Amino acid sequence: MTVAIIEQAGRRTLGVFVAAVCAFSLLPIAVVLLTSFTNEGFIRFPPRSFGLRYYADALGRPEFREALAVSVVIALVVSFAAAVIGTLAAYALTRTTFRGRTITTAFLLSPLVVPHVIIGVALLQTFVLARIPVAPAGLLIGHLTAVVPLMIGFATASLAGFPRQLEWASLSLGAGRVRTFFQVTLPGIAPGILSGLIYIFIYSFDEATISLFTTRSNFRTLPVVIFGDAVDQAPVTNAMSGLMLLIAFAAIALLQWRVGLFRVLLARGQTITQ
Amino acid sequence: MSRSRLPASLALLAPAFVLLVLGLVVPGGVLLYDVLFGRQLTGAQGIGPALDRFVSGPALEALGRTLALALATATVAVGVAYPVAYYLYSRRARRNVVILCLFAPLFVSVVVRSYAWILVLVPRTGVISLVPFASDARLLFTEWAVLIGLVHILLPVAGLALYASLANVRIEVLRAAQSLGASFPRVVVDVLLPLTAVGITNAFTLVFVLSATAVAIPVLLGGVGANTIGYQIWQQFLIYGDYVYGSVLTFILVVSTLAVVAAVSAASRRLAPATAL
Repeated sequence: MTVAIIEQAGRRTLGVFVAAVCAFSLLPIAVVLLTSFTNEGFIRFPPRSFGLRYYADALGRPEFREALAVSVVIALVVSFAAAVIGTLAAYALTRTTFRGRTITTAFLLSPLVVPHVIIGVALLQTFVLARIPVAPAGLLIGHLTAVVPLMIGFATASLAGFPRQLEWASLSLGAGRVRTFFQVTLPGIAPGILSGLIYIFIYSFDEATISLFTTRSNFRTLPVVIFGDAVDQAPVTNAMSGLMLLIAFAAIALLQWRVGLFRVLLARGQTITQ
Repeated sequence: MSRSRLPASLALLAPAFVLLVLGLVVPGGVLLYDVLFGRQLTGAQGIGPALDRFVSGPALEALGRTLALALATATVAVGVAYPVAYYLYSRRARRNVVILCLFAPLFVSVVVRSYAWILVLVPRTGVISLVPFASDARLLFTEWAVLIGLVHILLPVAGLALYASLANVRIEVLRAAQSLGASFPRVVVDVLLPLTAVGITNAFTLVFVLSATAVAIPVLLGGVGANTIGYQIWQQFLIYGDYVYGSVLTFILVVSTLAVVAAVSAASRRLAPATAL
């Protein structure tokens, strides 16, 4: 017997409500996906004939291929750089004690409470002032600033769950701190770092607000291209969105399979409410 | 372990520090300098003329509308997400399906989801034209479309914050209340809500801040029709190229958002004094 707090009728009402919320959550995604497979010259719901015509069309466009490449490269660089920077910082915050640790932690997590629009407009202005093109440097710095606190959260959670006795054993057997980190600690926290890496890859790949202000016409990410095309509602825009959805689904499947989606999200949630 | 090995920890923290200086501290300083002393495209210089322009222009109305929209979004998102979070807390049936439906959209770009809502809400060809009674509703490029889009984006965020708070409530406490004769509604009102008051305030504040400072959704779903401050900021930076006035608008938005957050947390402290259990 699990929880019997709520009686039969109430349970059914709650179930129906939750189902309705689920439908609301999935509705727009299902609509984009379904209409992206249209064979007609315009978007209507439901489409009358299906095919991959507009996917071929999207992949044939140089501007789409460029934006896809930019998005993937930026997301890769950002997620790997964040993994290194965030893990190092988390190690210092959890495994060493020093004066001013509380304020240091607060400073390093502060981007979590800074709205993305501020990061974006402030970087744009700074790069214009310095007369340096804002992309790719500003785009990279903006994304990294937003995600490093997330990575610190993921790495801190993993380090907290890793038994220190193993590190002490390694140190007492004569291994140095560096060797202990790479041969004992890192293998132990690797699953947590990996889930953070995947989460941050998709976070950067999807990010639109910072990107809107820190890209330029010949260096745009995929969300920025879709943003520019959205008003026209052309079938090819659906195909581009459909491809973004497929990449998101791959990340979800990977996270669900390796660690469980909910656990990853809760690890992230803790960093937000801190 | 080792105490005050400052140089070692400093080396480990250095990359993160350098990043935040480059990504937050310096740009923040530039932004603040431009707000206070920058020259707008109109030629006027300093914060005084910028504020005059704000008070007499469409941005003032946009700010009020944005804050109202954000309050509405936070109310709806928290109100809808709470029962779902309670479901995840108390029921095992189809838990994974609910988690997937509710949280999968978090992994889909805001731009794609906004575009999806355009396809749903666009008159005549959108999904809405198939809905009885609503087929003629003109929601796109109004506040309603922005509200729907923001709620959709922030529902999972509210759900996570609320679940994190509910997870700390021991189910025995609810059982105890019930075994003492309290009906389910009474358990919710007298036990569950007070115990999760902090979580509710957190979720509300989080959703409020994220909706007030949203740009992509208000521009795509609201446009000039909904005239939000996010739309005004986007317009100043990316259409007119008036960075200084755009910065002033961003600054005003942040200050007023923080003011509302302070008011909300003061009010919630008065309404629900800290309950320890």
